[in-house]
Parts: sequence; C-alpha cells; structure tokens
Amino acid sequence: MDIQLIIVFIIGIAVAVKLGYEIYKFFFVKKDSPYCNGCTMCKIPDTKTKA
Amino acid sequence: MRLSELHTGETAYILKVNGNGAFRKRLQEMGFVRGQEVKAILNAPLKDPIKYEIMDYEVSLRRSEAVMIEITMLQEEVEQKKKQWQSDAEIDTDEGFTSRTSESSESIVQENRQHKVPKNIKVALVGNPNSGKTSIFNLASGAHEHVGNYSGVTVDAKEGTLHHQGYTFTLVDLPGTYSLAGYTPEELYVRRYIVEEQPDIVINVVAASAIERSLYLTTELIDMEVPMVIALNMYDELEQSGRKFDYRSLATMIGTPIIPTVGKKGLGIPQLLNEVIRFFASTQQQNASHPHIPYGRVLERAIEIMEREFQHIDITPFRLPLRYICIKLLEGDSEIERIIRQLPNHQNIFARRDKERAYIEKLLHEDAESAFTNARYGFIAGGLEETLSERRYFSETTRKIDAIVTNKYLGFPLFFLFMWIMFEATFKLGEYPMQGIEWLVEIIGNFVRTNMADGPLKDLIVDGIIGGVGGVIVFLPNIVILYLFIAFMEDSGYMSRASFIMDKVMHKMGLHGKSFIPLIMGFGCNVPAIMSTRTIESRSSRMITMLIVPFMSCSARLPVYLVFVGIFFSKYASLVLLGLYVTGILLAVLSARLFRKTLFTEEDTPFVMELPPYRMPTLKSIIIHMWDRSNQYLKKMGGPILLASIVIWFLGYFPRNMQREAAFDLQIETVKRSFTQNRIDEQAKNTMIADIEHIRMTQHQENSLIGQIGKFIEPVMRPLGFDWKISVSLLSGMAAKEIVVSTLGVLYAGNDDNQTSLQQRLKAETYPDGSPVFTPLVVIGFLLFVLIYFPCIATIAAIKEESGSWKWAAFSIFYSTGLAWMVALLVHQIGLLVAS
Repeated sequence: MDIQLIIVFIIGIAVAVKLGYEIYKFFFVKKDSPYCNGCTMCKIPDTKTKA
Repeated sequence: MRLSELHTGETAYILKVNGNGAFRKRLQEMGFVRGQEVKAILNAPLKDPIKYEIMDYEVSLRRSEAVMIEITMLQEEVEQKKKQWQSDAEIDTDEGFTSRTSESSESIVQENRQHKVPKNIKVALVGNPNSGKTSIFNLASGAHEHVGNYSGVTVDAKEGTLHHQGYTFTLVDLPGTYSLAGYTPEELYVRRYIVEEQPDIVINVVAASAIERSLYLTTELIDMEVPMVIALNMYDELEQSGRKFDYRSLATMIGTPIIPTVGKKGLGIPQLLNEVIRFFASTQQQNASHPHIPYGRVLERAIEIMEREFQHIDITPFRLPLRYICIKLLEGDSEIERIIRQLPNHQNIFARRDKERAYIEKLLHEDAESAFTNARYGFIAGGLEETLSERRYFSETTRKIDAIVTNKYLGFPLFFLFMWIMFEATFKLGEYPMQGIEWLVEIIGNFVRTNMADGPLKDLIVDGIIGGVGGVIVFLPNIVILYLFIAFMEDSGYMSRASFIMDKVMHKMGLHGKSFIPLIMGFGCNVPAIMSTRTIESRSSRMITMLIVPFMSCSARLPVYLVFVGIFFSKYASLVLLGLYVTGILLAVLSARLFRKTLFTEEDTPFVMELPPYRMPTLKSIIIHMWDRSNQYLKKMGGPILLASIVIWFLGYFPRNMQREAAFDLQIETVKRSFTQNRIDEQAKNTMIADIEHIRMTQHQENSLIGQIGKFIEPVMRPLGFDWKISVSLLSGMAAKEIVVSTLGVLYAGNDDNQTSLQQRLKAETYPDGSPVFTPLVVIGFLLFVLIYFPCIATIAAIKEESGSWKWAAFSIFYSTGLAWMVALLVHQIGLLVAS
C-alpha cells in the first residue's frame, strides 16, 4: 500500500478521535468555564488563570 | 423643582428621590441622596440622556428618570433640611465608627510574627466598576486580564496566584459592583462569593477619584464584618486635583487599613500585599474586632429589636453576622428574606420586621431602605469632612473632549467617522503585511508541490492544510489592527460616551444604553459580549441584548469579508465593510424592537451609567490586548481551523473512483501522444490537459462525500445564488466563522501546478457553461448570509448558559439562520430582477 496513503489514514484516524473527543466534551463534560466551549477567541479565559 | 428641569451648568441640591424598588435604590447607591449637590453638565446629541456631576464623578441619567428626583437650587433650604434630617435620625457624624470590642483598630493590625500563621492567603478583590481592580489583579498576579475604561469589564470571577514574602496569594477578581444590595446579578454574585467562599481577606479597591461614592460599598462590607484592606486606587488622580487626604485618620476611624495605590503604574502594590499579610496574621492571632456603622438612634433601636428576635436561633449556618441580617431584613432585601423563610418561626420575625419598618417610616418620614442608604452616605460625608480637603484643581480635559464628542451636531458624525477610520485602517494598513503572509504561504505551497512525490499526503498538505489554514492566517494583521482600535476605544473611556450618545436610540429600540457596550464588544467576539450582558439589570433588556449580539459582526467574520471585498469591491472596501457592520446593527435594532413588542414586553430599567474621566491608555495595556488577540488567533489556526480543514479535505478526497480516474488518465495520455506525434502544438496540449484536469476535479468533488452533502443542501441554497461548495462552506462555518474561508480554500483548490491566493482562485471559478460562480450579487448575498446566520457553537453555548435555557439558544439558531436566508433571498432575487 502506498506510504502516503497510510500516513493519510493515520492522520484521518487521529483527527476523527480528536473530533469525537471534542464533541463528547461539548455535550458531556462539565467545564470550569462553561461559556467558552472551546472558543479561544473569547477574551475571558478559564476561571483558573495561573500566574 | 425636578432634576430634569435643571439647565446645563446649573447646580442644585437633592431633596428627595421618588420612584420605588430597584430604580430608587440604584440611584441612591450612585450618590443621589438627599442634600447632595448635583450639577447638570450636558445633554446627549438627541437631548437625552443628560450628564450630571455628583460626588466628584460624572453620571448619565435619562430625562424621564431625572424627573423622579426632587431638587432645590437654594442652599439655605437644604442646610435647614439637613438639620431636620439629622435631628430625626440622631446621627452624630463625629461619633466615628463604633466597635464591639474594646480593642483599637491599630491593635487589630499589629504585627504578630511570633505566632505561626498559614502561608496561603485567599484574597478577593472587590470594588466599584472601573475602580481599577483588574489592573491591580494583573499587576499582582502577572495575569493578562482584560481591563477597560468603562464599567462591567469583569463579568466573572477570575483567579490568579502569586508569591510574596514567602506567602502564596490566591487572588480572585470579582465583578465590579456599586453595592451588595442584590438587585443585579453581579451584586448577588459578589455577595454570595464572599459569604460562601469566605476569603481570608477582601481587598476593597476604592477609586480615589470618586471616593465618596466608592466608600458606600465599604460601609456594606463593614456591615458584613469581612476582614478587609482598602486599596485607595488612582491615588495620583486625587493628588493631581490638589486635594489632601488624611487616609491614615480615616483608616483608624473605620478600623480598616488603607493603602494608596496607582494600579496602572504598579505603585503601592507591594505595600498593599505587605498590609494584607500583616492584617491576615493579626486576624489569625486575635479575636477580630468588627467596627460598626452607627445608623442613628431610630435605626439602631430597630436593629436591636430585630436582634432580640434571633436570640434563640442558631444563625451560624447562614455565615452572616446577626447585625447584617437584621439590617438587610429591615431594608427588605429579598435574598435575606429568602434565607429567613427557612426558619421555623419566620412569621414572627417578619411580623416584627414589618412593625419596625412602619415605625422607621413614621419617625423618619422615609422608607427603611432610603433611611439606611442616607445614613451610610451621611456617615461617609462625616468621615470625609474631617479627612479630605476640597478639590483645588479641576481637570478640564474630560469636559473639553466631551464637549466635542458628545456635541449635539458632532456626536454622531464623529462616532461614525471613528468607525470608518477603524475599518479603513483595518483594510488598508492590514493589506501590506497581509500580502507578505500571502507570499509566504504561496512559497511554502509551491515548495511542497515541487519537492514532494504525487500522492494523497501531498494533496492533504497542499490543498487541505496550506489551502485551508493558509487562507485564514493571512488575515492576522487585519485582526490585530481591528483590536488595536477597539482597545483604544475601551481604555480611553470613549466606549462609555458611545453608550451615552446612543442611549436615546437604544431606548427607542426598547433597550438600555448599557446594552450598547455588549453590542460594541460583539464586534470583537460574541461570547464575552453575551457574558457582559450580566451588567444589565432588567432581565428583559438582558435577554433582548443577548439575542441581538450575534448580529454584531465579530472578528471571526472579518476574514470572510476581506476575501470577497478585496476581489469584488476593492475600490470601496472600507465603505462595504462599514455597510456590513451597519447592516448588522440595523438588523439588531429591528430584531430588538420586534422582541420588545412580542417576547419581552415589560418595562426596562433606569439608565444610570458612570462616565469615567478620559484616560490615556498605556502602551503596555494596548500591546497586551493586541498580543492576546494575535495569540488566540494563532492558537485557533492550530486547533479548530486545522482540524476542520483536514476534515473537509477528507470529505472532499474520498471516496476515490479508480475507474473514473483511469479514464481521465487515459484521456491525458491520448493528448500527450498526440503532442509527441506532432498532431497538436504545446499550447494546445497544455490547454487540453488543463481542461481535462478541471473536469476531473469537478467530477471528483461532486461525487465526493462533501459533494454529496453539498448537493443535498444545494436545493435550499440555490435560490440565493449559492452553489454546493458555498453551501458546504456555510455549513462548516457553524463551528467557527473562519472555517468558511478555510473550507473555500480547500474546495476551490485551483491549479495543481501553481499555488495562488484564495482570492485569485475564487475569482477564476466558473460553472461548466463558463459563467462566473461569484458575481457581485452572489457575493453580497453571501456576505449578508455570513453576517446574519448561526453565530457559532461557542456563542450558542454562551446564550444557553446566560439565559439558563436551551430554548433561547435554539431560538437564536432558528431566528438568525431563517433571517439570513430571507435577507439573502431578497437580495438575490431583487438583484436579478433589477439586472434584467
């Protein structure tokens, strides 16, 4: 099998896992900062900002 | 005479504040108490609201609300009445703060290093809005929290840690609040935080420039018996006004250490932290004494009677001092009433409370809530009379700037001029670094193209990652410039003036001037804008503001505009950009009116808003602001945008049809053979191969997974003039708006041999009949659709959190997307009719 195709499949699996985890987190994990939901454009960071 | 009748430049004295509930309480907390001097400064451009000066600070009030305040212009009359009020309440302002224990305040703060004390100190920062809490928090903890020269920047508690003199401080920055009355969400939030979290020390940040009003919150904290150190912030402004303040004497009087600080320059912060350690150590070693505010004979008697009602009741679970509970019960505080209702004999307590309230009203000729507020301000006035000298120098800078920027003829044109300059700079200045980044992306793309063997990985890198992420990253300079302007408006104090001049317009929409700040913040990011609606007292105004914030075009939408405006409207780029933003505002106005008439019909709350003096933003704060933005934008490139680009590429690359591919390969082979046999020249060969490749790519995309999704939704989007690729980009943009651009970058991959900018690729895109996919009409519809439709997942989640219900989040999704579809349809169909 083409080596490029194998790498692409591995990337695909990694991205799918990450995406699935993000979706799971969005719906099922209670966050410290529930407003942001993964949006890093927000000016208000996590409530536990460590200096 | 009413306050609304006071002419510009005239001074008068307050006799009485009419109205009821939250309205009157809010006015009194802001310093509109009997006997207080008030001056009319100027009218907003539309004659409403009016700016007044009271207690050395400036505040705006609507005409309809100023009419509720009775005034007199005769100083003798108010002096006479003052004597009457004083004898009624029997408040001796020279009495000073009383203390239950015999220890002097000095002894409270005495250092006691012999004893072991814990090394971790939990410190809560409280204070009025715009008193500089966040500046102190940032300096002390090294955090980069956003600060601004307007109220309500902090809408949630933020935590930071720092180490000083061997101690670990956990600093918590709480939202700014004028009191702890419990009328607004922030007031309740701060009070609950202090009660439930029980910080070791509270740093009460008092703005030295408006000390009289700021000390009101201090009196409430004293009543709550919280261990407190006062940071007398912006002390330089007090000194510049030529005043002398004997803060040491005041500290002794109130039994609370006071440390002068200048938050933005970092002056006094080490001393403040030392004092916190000292005070913390003393509270650990001794039975802390709690000073009390004397409320005068009538009120003190009522408090004492109420205290007797609790004689046999264990109030320790409430974590509040008995005296405070009694005061709040007498004031009619609904939160405390709710707590007391849990007690078995609450009927007796409420019956006694009602009797005492009636007794106070009878004797003092005012309700209990006003009596306590007046007594607190009376006490503050007494304390300051002895320690604070009169102001000698009056800074005219703020007045001079306000005379221009809030002028009735110049106010609005200047506001729109600022906005136009902001967009012009965003587009024009940003163009040069943007071209540089674009060039870099092309170089990288071409390098991979020429040096990597053909295959799916090469396609993923070139079309997926470089095409997707590279299409978005080029707009980084524009984002930075936009935020430079927003930071300047926020930090200088102009943002509050914008609210001031817009209040009448907002009022016509059924909204509050305060709603304007979240709306302006929405230009940056909708999520914090929705969170900042917490500063709006009325739930109906808050809900309406929350639902219209998504129409404020956030910075994530800017890359989409820039891609298309740059190609199709380059001559009028700034005007088109401004037009899009104005359209968003207009839709917000119309939606607000609709919501006010249908969903939220109740009355809104008074427009009482502090207008801070103008302050020159420091270079450091502007740089921090811009750096944070750039950092967040870059992080987004490596996170959701990269992820989305790869997902879109996968959906566009698979499934592979080997038979179809082989057929195209055969066609190309035939063309090449024709060339070697000299039947066609090189130019014809290249043209034919390019045509075959184009058809191959089009067929492949149409049959790919994303093509099938696009084709599925295309019938709905076709009346708007959108092809399936545009439809897919809009679908993927629901996660975050920049993904619209990265998706277009992946789908419109362009020529295989040469990396060109996304803009060139979009311009060159045609339908099979040769007509362009993107016409100016399609682009206008598309940009409007992007402006109006589904904000983004994070914004929807914020609406859900702030409204407390998925119902409103779902409403926002359907309303905005439905409206976007309608507007784009109208634009396209009317445009086609006009063109034909």
